[in-house]
Amino acid sequence: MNEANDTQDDELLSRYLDDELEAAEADRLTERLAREPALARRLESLRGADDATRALFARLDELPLPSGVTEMLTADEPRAPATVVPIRRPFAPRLVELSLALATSLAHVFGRYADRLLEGPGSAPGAADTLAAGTVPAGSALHALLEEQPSGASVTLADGTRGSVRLTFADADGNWCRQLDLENARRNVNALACRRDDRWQTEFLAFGEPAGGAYQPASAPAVAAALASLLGDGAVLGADEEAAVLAADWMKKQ
Amino acid sequence: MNKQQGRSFAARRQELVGILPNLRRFALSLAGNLADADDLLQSTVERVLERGLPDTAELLPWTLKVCRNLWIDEIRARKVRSRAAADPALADEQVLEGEADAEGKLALREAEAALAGLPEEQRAVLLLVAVEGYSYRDAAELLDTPIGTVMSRLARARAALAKELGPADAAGGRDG
Repeated sequence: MNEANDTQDDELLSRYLDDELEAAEADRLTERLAREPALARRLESLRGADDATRALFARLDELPLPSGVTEMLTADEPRAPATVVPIRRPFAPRLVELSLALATSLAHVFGRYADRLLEGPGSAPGAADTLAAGTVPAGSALHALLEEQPSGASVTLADGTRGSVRLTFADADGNWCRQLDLENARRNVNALACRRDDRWQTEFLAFGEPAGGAYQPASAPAVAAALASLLGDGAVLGADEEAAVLAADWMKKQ
Repeated sequence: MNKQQGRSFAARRQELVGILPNLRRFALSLAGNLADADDLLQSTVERVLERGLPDTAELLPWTLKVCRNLWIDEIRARKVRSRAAADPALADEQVLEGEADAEGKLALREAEAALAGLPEEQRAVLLLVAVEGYSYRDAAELLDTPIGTVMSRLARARAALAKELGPADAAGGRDG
């Protein structure tokens, strides 16, 4: 077999892998594969190249997005008015897609970190475990963080976890939501929690590794997708707007 | 005149978030290393947010084209083309350390180096077809290339990767 034939066969096998052969061509190739072991090995070799490529690109989703990109996608709308009132909107079909993507990301994140999630620091549940429970108990340090602290303030919770709120916004139904970071020596958590019926409920959790002070979310695209899917048509609150909401004890936007 | 800006900023932003993973993979396939890919990703997002897209355009293909055009402009303007092999990114410590076993990490490094050694146009077509699942016709349209070229580039890309990654007896011809 010469080089030209090898090249021809590679194209044929490549089209076979991509399901781009006509039915008759595919039948002829299937017959050849059955009687030419070298050709069958070559097919597996090319398939292996695809597998390696997919594995490599899949890793990309685990790396944090450039901060410039996340800032652009969570920034206030250009020339937005100073006071932004979220507008109620009907449930959009687009959100179904985002939610599906989010569910996939979450399954991925939890699949990878389930073991760590279960290893709490000692026998008492830590702040991250409290978040994972769904509803943040009133009276807990985490509840106080969400309820009382302005964005940017960092507090140390009872289990040694450092916690801070990143930003505050209203969802499409006018419920107040906050993005927060928790970090201790073993893990960090990026979470979104919304205040519904006077209780803070976890909407999203992603677990990552602490990185020497630099926050590295486990799945930055998933965090960004979760934020965008919750964010109403309004914008993230500025410091003054947030202070007013805190002072009004989280009176729901109408 | 403003069909290009027919969608609101908020709507564009939400839609863009949904396609960021695809866009970033495509940027990496063009750039060949993470640093340039993320610069390209950022420029693309910025461009689409600023200028929007026609109401009739589908977001993902349109955005990928914007990304490709920006990359070509970058090459023409700055002549910057670096190889991921010289700046490994995906297989190194930026990936969550505890999750990567040594063998898997090594395999990733090899794959990354092999992929970085491919010509940019082969990487792009391999990403679109083998990873993103585009048909040859759609990949050809997106890359503004004849279908026959897509076909031959794919075969060459796979053959080159198989040679780099496969066992010695799978690397060359098939007679032995």
